[in-house]
Amino acid sequence: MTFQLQHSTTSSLLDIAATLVSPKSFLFGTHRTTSPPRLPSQISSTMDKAQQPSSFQQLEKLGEGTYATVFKGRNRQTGELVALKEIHLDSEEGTPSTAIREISLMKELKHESIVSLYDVIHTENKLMLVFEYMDKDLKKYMDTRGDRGQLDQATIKSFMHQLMNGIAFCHENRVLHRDLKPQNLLINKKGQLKLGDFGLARAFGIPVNTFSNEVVTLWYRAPDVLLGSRTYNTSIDIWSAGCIMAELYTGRPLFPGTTNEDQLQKIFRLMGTPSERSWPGISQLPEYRTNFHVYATQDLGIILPQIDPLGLDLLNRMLQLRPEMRISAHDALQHPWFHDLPQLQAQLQQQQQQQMTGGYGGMMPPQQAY
Amino acid sequence: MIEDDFYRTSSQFRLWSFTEDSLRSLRQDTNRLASDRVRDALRRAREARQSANSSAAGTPNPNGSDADSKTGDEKDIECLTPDEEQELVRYFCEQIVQLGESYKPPLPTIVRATAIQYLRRFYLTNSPMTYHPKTIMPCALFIATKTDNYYMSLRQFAEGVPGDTSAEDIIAPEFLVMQSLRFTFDVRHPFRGLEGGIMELTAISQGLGQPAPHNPNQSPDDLRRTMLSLSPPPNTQSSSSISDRLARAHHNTREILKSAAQMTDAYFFYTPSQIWLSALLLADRPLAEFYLDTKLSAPNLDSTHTLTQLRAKLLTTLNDCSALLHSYNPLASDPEQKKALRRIGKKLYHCQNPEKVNLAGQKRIPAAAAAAAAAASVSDPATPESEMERLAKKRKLESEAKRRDDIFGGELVMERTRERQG
Amino acid sequence: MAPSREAMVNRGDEDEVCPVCKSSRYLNPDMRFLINPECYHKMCESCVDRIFSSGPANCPVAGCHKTLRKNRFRKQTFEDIHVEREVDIRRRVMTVLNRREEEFDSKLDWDNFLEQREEIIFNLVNGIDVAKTEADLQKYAADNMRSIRANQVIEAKEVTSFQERQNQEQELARMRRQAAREEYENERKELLAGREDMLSRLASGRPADAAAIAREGQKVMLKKSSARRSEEERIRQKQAALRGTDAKKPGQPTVAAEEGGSGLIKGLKKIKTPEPEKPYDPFGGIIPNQRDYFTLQDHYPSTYLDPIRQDTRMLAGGYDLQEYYSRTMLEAFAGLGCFIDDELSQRQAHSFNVMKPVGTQGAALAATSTSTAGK
Repeated sequence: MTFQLQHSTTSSLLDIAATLVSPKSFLFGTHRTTSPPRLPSQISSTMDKAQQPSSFQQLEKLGEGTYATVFKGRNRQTGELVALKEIHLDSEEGTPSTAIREISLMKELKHESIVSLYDVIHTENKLMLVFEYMDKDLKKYMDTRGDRGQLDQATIKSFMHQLMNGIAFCHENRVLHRDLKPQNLLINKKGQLKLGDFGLARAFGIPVNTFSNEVVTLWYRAPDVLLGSRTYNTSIDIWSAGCIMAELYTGRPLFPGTTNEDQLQKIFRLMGTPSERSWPGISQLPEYRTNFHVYATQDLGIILPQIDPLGLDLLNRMLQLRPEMRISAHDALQHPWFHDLPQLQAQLQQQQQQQMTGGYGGMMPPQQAY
Repeated sequence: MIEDDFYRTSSQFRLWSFTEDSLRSLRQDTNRLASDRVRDALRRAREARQSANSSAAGTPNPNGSDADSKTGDEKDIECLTPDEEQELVRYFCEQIVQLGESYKPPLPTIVRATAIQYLRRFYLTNSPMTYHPKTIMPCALFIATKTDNYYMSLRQFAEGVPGDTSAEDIIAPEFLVMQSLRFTFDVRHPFRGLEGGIMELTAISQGLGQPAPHNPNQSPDDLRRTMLSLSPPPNTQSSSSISDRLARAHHNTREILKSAAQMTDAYFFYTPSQIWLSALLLADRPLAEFYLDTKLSAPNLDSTHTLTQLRAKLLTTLNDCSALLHSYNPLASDPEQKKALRRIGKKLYHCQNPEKVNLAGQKRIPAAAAAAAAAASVSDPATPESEMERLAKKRKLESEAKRRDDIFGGELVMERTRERQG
Repeated sequence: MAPSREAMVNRGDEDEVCPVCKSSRYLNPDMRFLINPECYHKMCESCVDRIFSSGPANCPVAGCHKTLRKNRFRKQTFEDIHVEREVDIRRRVMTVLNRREEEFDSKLDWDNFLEQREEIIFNLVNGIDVAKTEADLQKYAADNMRSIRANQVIEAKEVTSFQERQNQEQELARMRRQAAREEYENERKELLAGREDMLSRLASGRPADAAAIAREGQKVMLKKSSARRSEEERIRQKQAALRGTDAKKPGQPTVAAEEGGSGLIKGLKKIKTPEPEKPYDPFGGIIPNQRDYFTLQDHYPSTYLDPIRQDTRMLAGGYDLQEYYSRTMLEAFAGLGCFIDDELSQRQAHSFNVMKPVGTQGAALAATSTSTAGK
């Protein structure tokens, strides 16, 4: 219970500690200028004998989420960069269940396309999750790299493959991400894409279990969720992935709705308004309206002229209105569109090498997802 | 086998699985350290009391204090044994079931089972002498409601906890519990596996079974015929329909999983699929053996075949696990155990670490620290403020020491180097 | 700027005179001069015809005793005969010493080779150490015949393959487009046909049949989607086959130095059999959905689950019973063959998972620090 004892200690200590991840780090750290009253020498000498714990230096803020703030950090021992997600504790409920769920899932999901959780650290009144450092999120990457946000074919295919790989792994381990969006996909300098922010993720599969429909940022939300379904399943992640794929080509969100109704309308305008015939049972969903404006299905190829026919085919399969018809992550990985990936990746590697030697790097915009 | 690798990646297998030897020695270490500490703490408290008394009296009484220290010598403090600690923890695991039942509606079985495993895992590295299970138990249950997606506000939860336990009392040890659980909250239970087995057995009983991957010659009809010709489970009347038999086996197995599997060390020694099959062996041995045979035997396999070997080995393991489950004896039905438990409870009252008694209280004014401060103020004529400062530093030291030995923090390096080597 | 070859040949120098027969272009405007790379002595076409038609003969230029053959006479490319000669020598050396950069271990070795080749050319052009250099070159050519030929083949292919590849890519893209279009068309047609069929049946049937017909229609659609999937499989295989032949062409293994090394050239790579290009593997070697303990069924009879199969509301909302089946069956068997006792003993041998009492030990340390601080 030592950490709670600490809670009651003098406020000056807490103030210093609050700026650092580990209270001990200021004893050895480089922040000497910022640390107020020195501790008496007897304690320092005792401490010197102690071996140094794994501590992290907190650097600039990267972003702010609903239940956490993300900082860049550095491991004092190895110099390795990390992302530190600081969880705000709720005095009413203790550790937020979102944080507990995220830690719980991240401890089980170890995969190359999923951001790694290295460590969990707690201090007086907060919890700090130490994640693998990624350079940017996909949104920022598109803003800085692409031609007005659009990316080249090879990069798109590589990213989509890694995305579907990560999703397939989650689904295989019966985890729904539920909040896939460019801000939650993280990119590093090696061109790797990883799924981050599992705060909304949860296990699935129990028949009587129903879910809250307050999931996924509106723009990437599947029509079944928008129509009020509480029995949604893995297919909602596929819908989000489809929206992201289109955005990779255009640099703009595919369905930038403002409200639930507007979101549905934007989807129907392009994909056609579903009916009981095309989607049996739809009229029983809570948000279904008999007076939906009836739109005809449009050809996605017209608004996405950049996309090749195979890619268009895959996209169409991901953006099926009826969840049952949506392709699974596992089938998507087998789609012919991915077949020339090894060749494309070889090209991409060459490009990246050129960019590396050409001085890639510089200022990294911050990321938000974790 | 492919399915096995899914389990090998789980934290339950990586961090919470033990051999009998390793589990025993871990519990002994924990007990020994806790006992040493309790003796130290009690001695300090006594010394503090003595010096307080003597200084209050103004006339030091060497004889009296000598006698006191002799009678109160650490040898006289009788600490709990590892077995007694385990008994006590088991009692509180049964309390979790009770507490879960008292809510309206009752908490789901899975939430209660998760909480029980949290409590059992917690007391592998902590001793009831240090942290009394009555304070940890509600906290473990509350964390389980969060991890198993059973939403409940803390206030709502606290109302269900009997006694004068406040909401603050419940979450006071939350960090401590989370840390001792090494931040792994995913518990793999045998319940869903049982559902899968019953699902497939039902399909087989209706002639809809599919041949197992390693036995492609099975036909649905053969499977069904063999199943119908199984000898009835012992101690039941024969001539019941197969669906009744399955329903009964299902129910009885589930009851074993809810009780014996939770209250014994089964989760530490066996995997969930081994546990539910072992429970099924207890409930209906012919049925369970038949099911295993459909998976792991085929005609014309010699004894050196991997499937045959796996089957033999698995049967040994499952029988061991069955024996463990069978050995469980519920407290309610055993007056002897109840008596023993009362004795342990009394014993714990005397060897409870005084410095850790009030977890929630420590947040405000640590009682033990206050006592120590009082003691120190006598032996060392310092002002209360400086004493408080000193205590703050001491606590700081403690926390550093603790953090240094935090298995989690320590493990990071290990885990990462291991990854690099892999 | 030097006059181009055409200009030179067509215009000629009016006063140019054949050094052998002394006839001049002024008298014979059609006169063409030829050279022989043995000695590079220039003479007119009629002299070549006259002297060498009956077989090899000595060069008629005074003091030159080279034996020349008629078939080796050719037109001069460069005005300067020295340049002409150097280019010829260079071409000859280059066809022999035709190693490629990828055959060398390092950039340095490649550079050394280039320098060595330039030196050989220089020597031959300037008549330094000619006998020895020629001998070296010949020996090398004899020793490395195979690799020389292989590299020649590669070079020739490089020249021609670019265009070829472009054509091929266009053709492939066209085929892919067409396949996708056809598939889309078929699907649409089927969809329309299916709907019409259903509508006409709905129109003619009794109201009670409606639901059944609609359900049936829906089932047919699902079946079609699986048929479409197998069609896709076929297309994919076809494409894979195309790519296979495509990949083989440029990827011919280069034959590096023959056994015993090339002697003349240093720093060549050891011969390696190039790895064949890996086919696309979507799951990194793992076969998903393959199981060892059970075969996943499409349906498991259950009084508890079967109502869900009929519950359009749940299904419309996205519920997939198949996912439940798959997860439940996996959990029934995951870890059945993990023998913790065995696997942990092995793990402990590697000193992993050493767990220490947490709170207790921390508290123990705290206790000792208290006692010291208290004194």
